[in-house]
Amino acid sequence: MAMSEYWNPKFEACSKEDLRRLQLTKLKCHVAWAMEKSPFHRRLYEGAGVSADDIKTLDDIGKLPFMDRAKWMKIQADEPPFGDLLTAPREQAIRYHLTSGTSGRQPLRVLDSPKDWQWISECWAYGFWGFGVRPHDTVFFAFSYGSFIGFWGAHYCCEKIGALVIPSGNMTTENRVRQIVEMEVTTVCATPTYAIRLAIEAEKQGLDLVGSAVNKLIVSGEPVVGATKKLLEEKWGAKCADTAGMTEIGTIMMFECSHQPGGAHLIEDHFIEEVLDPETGEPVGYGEIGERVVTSFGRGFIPLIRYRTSDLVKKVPHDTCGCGRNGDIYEGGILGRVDNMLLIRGTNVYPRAIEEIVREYGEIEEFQIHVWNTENLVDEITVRLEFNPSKKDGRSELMTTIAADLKRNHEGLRINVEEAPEGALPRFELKAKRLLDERKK
Amino acid sequence: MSKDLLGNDLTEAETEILAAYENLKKLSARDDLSPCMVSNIRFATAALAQTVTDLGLTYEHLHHLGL
Repeated sequence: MAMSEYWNPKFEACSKEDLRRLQLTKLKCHVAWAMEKSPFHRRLYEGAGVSADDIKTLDDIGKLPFMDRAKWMKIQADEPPFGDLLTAPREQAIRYHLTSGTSGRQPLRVLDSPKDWQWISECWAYGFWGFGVRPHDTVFFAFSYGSFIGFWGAHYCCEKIGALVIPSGNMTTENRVRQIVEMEVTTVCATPTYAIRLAIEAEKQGLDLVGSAVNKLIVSGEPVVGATKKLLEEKWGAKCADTAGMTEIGTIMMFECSHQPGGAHLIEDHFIEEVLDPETGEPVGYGEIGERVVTSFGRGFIPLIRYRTSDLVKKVPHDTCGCGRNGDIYEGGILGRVDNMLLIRGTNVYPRAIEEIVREYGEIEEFQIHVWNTENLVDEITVRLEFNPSKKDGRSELMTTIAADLKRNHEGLRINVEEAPEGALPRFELKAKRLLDERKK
Repeated sequence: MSKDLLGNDLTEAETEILAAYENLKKLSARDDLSPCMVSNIRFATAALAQTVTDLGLTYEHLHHLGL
């Protein structure tokens, strides 16, 4: 029998109607489970006067109150270390992980049971299989294997698929690129930022990544804008797929398939992904940007139901892609964060939009967005650019061009551009932190 | 004949997978097994739970079995 293009053809290619019926069945069951086993959820739902019996249709999900990071942090602080979220004694857990703390807040702590942990790798398998990873592949994880959950689930997913896995937790960047070439790696997994750094390191070492065996680059951990993806595909000579997940769910909830539709399919038989107006909490339609609110069916230890993520997304119908999957698509992946939009002298500025422009210029190796205010408390924004050492001439002219490009794309807002000395800007292996906001509050 | 969560008849392969899963659950619940039996049976049950969930044959949490 020929191998299916889908990991789970029964529910990745069924009708939307069947998919919605499956989601409804799981939702009712999961809410009942959460209410019975998790004191937090029982309190939350009793307070709102709802129960699983009130869920008759998928639209009834709107009756359930939101869960968010602030509530989670509070119950962790009130009753450390996990709060009263757990549905089982911690002795039943086999994994403990933490959020990365990107936003500088207290990390969230999560536990997984053996079944939860298997499910985490299962969702990754939807994505890796969908992008074409097969048993004959050699998969390299440029990942530190620490307390951040990152690619842990993807590692186990590749073992499940039957691919050869090469972990590289203890390797330097220099060693990693050598291993990738020497071991004839076909698939590399990293954050987009670190994948660029690996490519730059390969150039320094004179290693030919484009001519290497690498044909798939799978990125995760931070949003990847179109220009960055294009740059990665050029530098690696490989197709690049975006995936996105979060520690709070333990795994990915979306992946880019091998058809590369310019976005990522939702894994809708394991998640319900709502897109809501962040102000009103009301659903927005296809093609409109809103905040994603996730309900996960897989993690039993910590039920996650209607969790406000602060991620901005734009959902488009599944048939925007020709692969035949029924999972709707987040066009462009994660577009940004509700809470990282900058308001500079009355103009909205998204770090992602700046990255989209800067990454169009291959001569720029690294950048940083510095926001500050003058003595008169006027907001200023400066993009600091670090050039690739090979770019010797014409730097000043290029900075003028980039400044004009930034201004044109931000309603005429003046965005300062300055050169940073070689090696001055921080480099990242996990989530990049390129926004330096030093405004006096 | 058993049905999946949407009320469809199970295929022959699905019927066998579900039976294997139910057998593993029964074994997981036993308290007279050696460590090598208990641990590996639980591991196998957690793995097969993914297949029966993916196929919509059942949907349940298994914390009562330590999973």
